[in-house]
Amino acid sequence: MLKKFFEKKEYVVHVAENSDNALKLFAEHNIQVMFLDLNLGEETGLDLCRQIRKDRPLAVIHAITGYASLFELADCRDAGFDDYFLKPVDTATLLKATNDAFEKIERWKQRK
Amino acid sequence: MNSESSLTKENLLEVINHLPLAVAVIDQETIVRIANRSVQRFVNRKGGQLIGRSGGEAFGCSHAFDVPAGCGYGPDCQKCTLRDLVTDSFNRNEANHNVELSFEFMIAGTLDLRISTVPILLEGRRVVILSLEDLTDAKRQEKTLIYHEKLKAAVETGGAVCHEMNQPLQILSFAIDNMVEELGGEGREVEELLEVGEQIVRLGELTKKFMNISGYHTKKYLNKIQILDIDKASKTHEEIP
Repeated sequence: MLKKFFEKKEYVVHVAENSDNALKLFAEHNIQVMFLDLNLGEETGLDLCRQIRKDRPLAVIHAITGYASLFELADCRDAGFDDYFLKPVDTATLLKATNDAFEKIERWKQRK
Repeated sequence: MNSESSLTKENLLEVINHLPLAVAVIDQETIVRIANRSVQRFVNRKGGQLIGRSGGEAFGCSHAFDVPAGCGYGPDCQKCTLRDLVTDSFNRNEANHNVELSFEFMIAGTLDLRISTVPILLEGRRVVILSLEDLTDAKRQEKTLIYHEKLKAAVETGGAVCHEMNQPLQILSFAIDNMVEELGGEGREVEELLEVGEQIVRLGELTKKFMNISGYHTKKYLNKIQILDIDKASKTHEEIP
């Protein structure tokens, strides 16, 4: 559903159901902005973020979660997340976050 | 000659002075005849201030001087469980073991006590051995522990509710957004969809409260059962009882 929404906004979107598939996608594509669910089963979104952050220091990584205490949010920052969103989050908020993220990356690339 | 008839006050005091428990001997007029060292410490009075006085006076009951006649004659004395237990042991010649009650002391305030009363013959006279144990601290700790366990259960359940409900709410939210966009953002159908969207937001606010449970509060539901008062429970700055 979210893929459909972002594609309408002319973004190229990749979707992975678990960490392994996500890492394969990263190996194959230059993904710069991402939304990760914290609850991925055996591995958490925090573990995945740490792995991604090692290879993509400039990527903008957002967490989406159904439940988080303050401790989990602190862990998110430690793991390398740039921001988090609590479900249910509307598409307008995610779109703004995405637009802002790409704008930021572009600015970093130009070193402004 | 049986062992009880050979028991003297001195023998008995010698024995009960070695006990860590507060023990006194009360006669049928509810006068204190013997008080061990522990009971003297318990009520913070020397033996001389206890022996020969009525139970309420000796132990510092807050109602001991409600009426001029003293302990046993005031209106609250009729409801005194301690008095009832002693009287019962005399009447039935049976012991009462480990009865928990609250007792109002003049100085210490209300304390939770565990009382036992045992009737015996002492120097040929019927008396009751009364033991007192202060449970106040233990009760307070138990109450705190129970509160913490309830709060832990509420937080864990709240977390599960929050997590599980937010998944379908998210899907509904995206679906509404998509449908509104596909309908061009205008029209009666869009208005109805937006109303649905508002309820989703409202549900989202509710699940956030489940996520922020910081205290255990309940409220009556249909005047029958207690349910979690999610508004109170999700406020911060909770004072632990």
